[in-house]
Amino acid sequence: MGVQIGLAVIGLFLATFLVAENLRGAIPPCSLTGGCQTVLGSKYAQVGPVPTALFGVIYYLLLAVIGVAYLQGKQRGWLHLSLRLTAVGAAASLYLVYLQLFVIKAICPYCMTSAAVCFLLLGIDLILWWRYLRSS
Amino acid sequence: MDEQIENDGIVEENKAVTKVERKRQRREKKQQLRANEAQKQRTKRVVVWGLVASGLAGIIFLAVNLSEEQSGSTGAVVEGVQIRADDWIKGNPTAKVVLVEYGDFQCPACATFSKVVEKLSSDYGDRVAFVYRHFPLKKIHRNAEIAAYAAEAAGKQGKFWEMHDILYEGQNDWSESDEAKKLFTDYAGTLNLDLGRFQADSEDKDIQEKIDDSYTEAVELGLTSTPSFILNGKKIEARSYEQFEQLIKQELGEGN
Repeated sequence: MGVQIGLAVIGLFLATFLVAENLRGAIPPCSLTGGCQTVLGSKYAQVGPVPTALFGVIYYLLLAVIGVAYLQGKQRGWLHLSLRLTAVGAAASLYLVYLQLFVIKAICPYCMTSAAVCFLLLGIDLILWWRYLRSS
Repeated sequence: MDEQIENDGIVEENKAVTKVERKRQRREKKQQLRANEAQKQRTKRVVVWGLVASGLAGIIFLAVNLSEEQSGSTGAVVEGVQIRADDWIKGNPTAKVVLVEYGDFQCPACATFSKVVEKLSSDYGDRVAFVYRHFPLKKIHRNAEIAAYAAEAAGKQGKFWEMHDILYEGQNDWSESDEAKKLFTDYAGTLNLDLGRFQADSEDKDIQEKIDDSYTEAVELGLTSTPSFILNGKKIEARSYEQFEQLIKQELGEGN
């Protein structure tokens, strides 16, 4: 669970950075190698007026808080909630990765790192849940 | 005798009272302990959550700061960036301060910066030469090269900067379009260009060569992204009008 909190903090950092960039309207320069500006400048970078990364910020904040709550009493409910959330998060990330690879056809490293963090989080929660089931 | 019994009774009563009293005290002590324990727990929880909240707030603050911190600065010296005969220049071509932009018409950041350069050229046009050179990132921008051709073709009819502006304004329309060439011709129409000549020039070998050379030159200068700005031979990193202004003022000797 400590790992989960650590990962959530990394994700929080990435997502906040992206939201800040989005809100300032600063578009990263176009690079010969990268495609950040293509991704962050695409219509998928926002859901209506809301920057997509803001969902990430809220998501990671929730996971960090749930992680701490779980560590305090080791109550099963927190773990269960966390597992469900990370499942949703991983599914959303999978969709965003799909968008980058096949629709926008450009890759933004920040976004990809965030997606990787989401998959790791789901993996960790699955392991924790499995351990819990086995021990009870 | 009677008195004795009575006294005994009182003693008994007293004993009973102290027993009750002791029980009550014990109970109170227990409650006190429990309350202390609960208080401790509560304090611990407050401390933990306080730390968590400030930690998370700290992370957010750090990330926002990192995003804002990338401020204007002067970087490496770039050799051999002098104004050339085939450069497109806005402002004062003989000015001692020269700002060269390597741009890509399909780059969203370039579109944003074109507004900044526009404002700079209207404010400092008498003292600064603004040069635009092509750096179409063809690997990631499929229509960047033909857009550069269109700008040069319009330039042959004296409307390079007009086409430059229209291309950036309409970037979203033609960037990923298969009809980009047709759109460029439409733009040429709105600029009242000779369309036959415009289309022929858009395919012109000399123009294509000029843009290839410009691309190669940018790569050789070590540039990897657009827009790249070179101010009097030094690569600069500026993200806002104010940052550009400050750097330009320094070169003009107006420092601050």
